[in-house]
Amino acid sequence: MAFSIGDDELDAELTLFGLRFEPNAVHAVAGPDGWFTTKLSSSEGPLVSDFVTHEASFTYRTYGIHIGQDDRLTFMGAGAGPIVGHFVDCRAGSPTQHQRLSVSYAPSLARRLVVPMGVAHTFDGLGGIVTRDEPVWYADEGNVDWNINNDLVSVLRDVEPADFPLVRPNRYRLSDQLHQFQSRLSQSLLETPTSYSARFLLTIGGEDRYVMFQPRSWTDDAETVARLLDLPAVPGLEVHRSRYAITGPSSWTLVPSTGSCVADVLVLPGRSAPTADRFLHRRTRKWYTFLDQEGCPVRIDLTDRRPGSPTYGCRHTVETTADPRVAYAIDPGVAYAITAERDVLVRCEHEVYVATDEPRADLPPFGADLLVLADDGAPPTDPPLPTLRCPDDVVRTMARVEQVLAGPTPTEPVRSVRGAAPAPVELVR
Amino acid sequence: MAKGTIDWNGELRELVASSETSADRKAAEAFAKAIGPYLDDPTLLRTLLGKIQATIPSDAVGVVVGQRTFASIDEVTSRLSGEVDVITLEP
Repeated sequence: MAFSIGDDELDAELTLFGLRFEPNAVHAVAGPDGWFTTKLSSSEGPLVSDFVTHEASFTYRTYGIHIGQDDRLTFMGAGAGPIVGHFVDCRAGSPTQHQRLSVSYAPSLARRLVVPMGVAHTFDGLGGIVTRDEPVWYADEGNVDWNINNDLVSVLRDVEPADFPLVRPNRYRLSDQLHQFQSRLSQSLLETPTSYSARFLLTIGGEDRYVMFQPRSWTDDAETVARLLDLPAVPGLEVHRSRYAITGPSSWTLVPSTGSCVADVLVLPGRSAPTADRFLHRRTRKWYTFLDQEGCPVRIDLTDRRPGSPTYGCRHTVETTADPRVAYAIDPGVAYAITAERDVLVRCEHEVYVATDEPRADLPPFGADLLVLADDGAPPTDPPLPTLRCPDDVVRTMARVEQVLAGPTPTEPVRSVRGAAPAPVELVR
Repeated sequence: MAKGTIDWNGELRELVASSETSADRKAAEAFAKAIGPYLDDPTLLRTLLGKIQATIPSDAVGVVVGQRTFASIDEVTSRLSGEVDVITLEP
């Protein structure tokens, strides 16, 4: 029997040691009509965000135990019912060793579930849900339970708690720089999507041994993705295949697209017709990935406003569908509006530019360079765009600054968020 | 970020060397020791880390891991058809 966590319980310790809910940094965005309405920022910590999508019929057949990773999971979107998490403490010597716990809760942008390494976990009710994971990684020496090529130990779901393996979690937390290094390495490995292997503890010839089962083939979605990528070329818009591993037949684990590894989540409200407004970032290249509502029609209207561009002033419309396997990168100086028929969760990644003649001592917050072009007409002037791409560390620093500017993490649900910081908007008419 | 165009080994050496605290250095050295053998040929790394899969690689794997105890790894392999590779990890 699972006990329930209420929708307003954002900060809650659970009975397995270290298993808990924590509040997220989520804010309403006071932007114009047609802009995003809610922003979920990165949590404090290493600033790496992965996303796992779950197809409607998604069902886990195993528990997973991380040896060198604390999971920090935000469950987003609308599933068919409550999520039920099942947990077994597998940490040797833990005060709650081999205790089992089941918890029922609703998805919410406002909180994340922290699953400490060594705690076996699995979930029901994830169909249609997207989870953001902000992992915290640890290393160790001489830990037989850890394998860096597959951190996860799998256990079949019908195993009794007393028969779960007891493991030793890693002891040494990686620096933020090593988190970034490891995440970038993941990106590199996933140029071609593959599936994860499964690692189980078996007794072989009287000795406990970890054995990895690695499928030789997996779902080949190359043709489908090629169709999604086959869009007309539009100046200032690049369409990329996301970097992902295959988690189920139509479920994927997305790793970051950019070297900074920083990603926010934005809510794009559904609307039946495009807004007349266009949105433009002067110093940021935005990468957008539509995380849920797969197959929902999405329209991207673009106007090239880059001074000196041979297609300056040209307007284009791209008709596509929401699919997490594809990311759209919009260059600085290109005005755009995104329209989807339903509310869509959007991953937003950033590359930041400065001008070579503007050494600056400040770091403008994300969104400070947003211009709203009310009538899509020519503004009085289109000043030259910054062209010097900042190192990825600048984006990471901006994410940390944003955490400070946002103030204390709100403790109320999204609907009554405290300390909301509306995105600065400059209106150009 | 194409495979082979980044000097992962060199970057890692720099990160280890630039550790700011003894705790960071201990973690960096342990990480480098674990990942180092793979960096000469990152294709040996499959996906890195790992997530829970919706399914296990095959029903036959489910039967095998349900039994749990075997005389030898050959016995494990013999229970499975060729669609999965069986990799034993050193204790």
